[in-house]
Amino acid sequence: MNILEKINQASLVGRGGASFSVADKWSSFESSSNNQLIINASEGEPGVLKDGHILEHHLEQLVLGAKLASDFISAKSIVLYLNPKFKDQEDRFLTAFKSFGQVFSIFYRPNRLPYLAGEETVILNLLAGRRLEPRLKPPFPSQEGILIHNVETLYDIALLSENKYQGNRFYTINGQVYSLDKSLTIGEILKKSNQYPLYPFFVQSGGGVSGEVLNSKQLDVPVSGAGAIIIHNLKEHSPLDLVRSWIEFVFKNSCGQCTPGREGLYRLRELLQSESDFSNSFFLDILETLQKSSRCTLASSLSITILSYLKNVYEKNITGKN
Amino acid sequence: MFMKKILRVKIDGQEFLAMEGQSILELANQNNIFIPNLCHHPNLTTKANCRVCVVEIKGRSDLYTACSTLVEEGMEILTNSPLVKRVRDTNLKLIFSEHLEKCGNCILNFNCDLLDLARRYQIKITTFNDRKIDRIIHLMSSALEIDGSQCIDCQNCLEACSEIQGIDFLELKGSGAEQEIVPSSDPAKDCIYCGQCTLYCPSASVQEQAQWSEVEALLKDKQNKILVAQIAPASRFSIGEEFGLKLGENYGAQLVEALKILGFDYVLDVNFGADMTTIVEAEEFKDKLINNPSSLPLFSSCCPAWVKYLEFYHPELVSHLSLARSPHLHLGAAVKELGFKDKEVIVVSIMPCTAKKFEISRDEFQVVDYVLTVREIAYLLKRAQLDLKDIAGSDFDDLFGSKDGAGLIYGSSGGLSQSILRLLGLSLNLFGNDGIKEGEVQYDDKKLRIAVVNGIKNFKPLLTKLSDYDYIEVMACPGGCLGGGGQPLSHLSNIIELRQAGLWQEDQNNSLRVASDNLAVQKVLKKIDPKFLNNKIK
Repeated sequence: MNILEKINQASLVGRGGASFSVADKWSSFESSSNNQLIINASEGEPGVLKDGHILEHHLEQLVLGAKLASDFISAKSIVLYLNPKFKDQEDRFLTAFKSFGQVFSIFYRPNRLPYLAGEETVILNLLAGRRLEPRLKPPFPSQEGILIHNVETLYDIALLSENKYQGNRFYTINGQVYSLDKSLTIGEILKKSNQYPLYPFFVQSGGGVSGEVLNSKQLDVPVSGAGAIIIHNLKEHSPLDLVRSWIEFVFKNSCGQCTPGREGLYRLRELLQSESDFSNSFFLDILETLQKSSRCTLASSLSITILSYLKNVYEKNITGKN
Repeated sequence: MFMKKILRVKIDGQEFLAMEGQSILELANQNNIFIPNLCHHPNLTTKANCRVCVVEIKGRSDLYTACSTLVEEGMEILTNSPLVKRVRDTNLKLIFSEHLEKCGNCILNFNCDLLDLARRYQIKITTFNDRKIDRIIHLMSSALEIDGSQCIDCQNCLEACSEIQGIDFLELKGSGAEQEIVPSSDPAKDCIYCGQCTLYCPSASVQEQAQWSEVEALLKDKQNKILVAQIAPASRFSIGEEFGLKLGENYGAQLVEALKILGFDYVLDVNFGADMTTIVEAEEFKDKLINNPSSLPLFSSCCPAWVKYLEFYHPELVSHLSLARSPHLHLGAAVKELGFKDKEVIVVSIMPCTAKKFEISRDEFQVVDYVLTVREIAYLLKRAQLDLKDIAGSDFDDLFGSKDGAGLIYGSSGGLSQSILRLLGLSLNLFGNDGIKEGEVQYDDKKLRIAVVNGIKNFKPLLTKLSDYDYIEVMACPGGCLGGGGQPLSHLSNIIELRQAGLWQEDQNNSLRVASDNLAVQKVLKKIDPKFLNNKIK
């Protein structure tokens, strides 16, 4: 069985957060004269640390996965797109990727708009020396001779090739990284990792900003997105401060290109500075507009986070409306 | 040959045949279904920034921007579903709140995209407080300005400056809500005042520096001054657009009468001045051909944006510029020198151009007092409740023994070269809308090699082969003055072609087509002080 067949059989999905089928990405790949593999090691969402964990503990597998992917597309160049916080390990990476020769290079993610700078079409713009903002899709990178994979995805591909893949994925729970079965529910993961809180709580599933918020009775589902579980104390959290912090993070990472991502975020932030609850009708209008009409997922996933928090936690446990 | 597929697509329940590769917005426009949009223009790339053209597609949960989404077989599109309305209206409210309203004296007040959408959807234009109120206005010489307090961040001006013109003077500073379009701080870049940016700005943020109010004040109180308006060739083929009149028609006569009603004492035709330019420039060309061929090619110099470009970016080539003055400066000088004795005369040029505002401020050329763009004069007329539709029209005034001239074709790219060729008794096809048009023609024992640069971006490719040419016409705006930065804003991709068709048709019917046949012009040239006929560009 070749590697693509193995990927297909294992139903491998990308671990950058969007969970796109790896087999589909590879099958739809269209060669250009300058095929490129980009390893996305920019990990920038609060609460997600698993790529750093792989870089530190499983670098050999990452290199193997990169080799398989670059061979598959006959890559002319391989770029490690790296979060600058790993700069002190640069020599280690250069040594590990030495076998690729001159075609390998490291490109550091800028410090400006760090979270947005991890989005794949933004990476393409940056590598091409263009503005830090997303491109319209289609065309998708794979239609233009560019294969871009998250660190964990390449790690999984390496495991598959060595027949060591067990269907696990990495989870980041309150700052610690675990490797557990991908089909486990949030409740099971919290118990297996000994992180199940003894106090009233709710969780954010996926990442610290773009994750759906669930109350403690809704934990019977797998983790989504980039695999993080962030545990919040139900009694001790401040609803306004929590929502403000989410908005603030995305606001500070917005390129400002589209109306909802620029003005929507600005007005959301402004509204919450002066309001004492979430009842202003513009608040919900803007959230819907962000969700339905943003140009990229950065702003739209913020709506999912806030709306799920309002529905699953705020209205149920705090206002008692539900 | 590859054939595009025909697709069946429904919009709001009605079925249409669409072409594969067409966007939803194109299909809707083609079938007169209105989908609002602000950052889209057929001459620009699709950016999908404003998110106002969102539509719903049956079976999908997100909304899609009609400008950037291609039609697919069987697609059912809803342009007005409850979800579309909510999201579109919210995006409009957000956009309106970016824009500080200065409607009371805004040139675009009578045809404003923002006000139109606010009325159409009954949205208050001030839902939120104005967050950009403290932004400053950047001035580019006396020609253009960027008012950051009015900007809706569509980025159309950026693209006009960088992609259409290749000047890249405007820059996007900062990101997120703090982003702002500003003039470049790079000392190696400068604005050439062409005003192409203003043609694509839906929010009057990038505009000409208005002079209409000074002219309006003079019209109200003339203080014994004689007010003379002079109308450029290209202005008469676009002014009708401002009043919903037929596209590509010459409404010069209606404009003459309207200007008289407004209070101008005389209204003159810049075609006359263009003939002066042709004669002076053709003489200069002949002289160089015979006496100083090593100084060739001769560059045209009547486009002030081109002159500015050359002075700034290629000062080493300035000596190639023709010393002939531009048509409105020639006519303005004739008016001031020969027209009226012992009276103060104010000359106002009605131009399709923003760079002309810069031109009249140059030390060399102090003859024209004000330059108003076609947009400004339309605005003045509308403020006075004058509608060209209701005006029969009258002839230009005649101060020098001839009302007009052969210079009408100056309005179009290739027209200036054509005028010179006609004077030399030659014929060469330099029409059309290619970026570079070139040709050779035999003149006595010489082969003349002529190039026409249509749009400033197209000059660069000629830099390495200037010695291949004897004469080069450059117009900074695509299409020449018909596509000038002072023209009315249009949503059409073919507006320049429509204006061109009208102009060249009229030239066909014109009995006077060679500048040197204009005897009145010859007489003026003999009488006028030579200092007004050419200029050493400093």
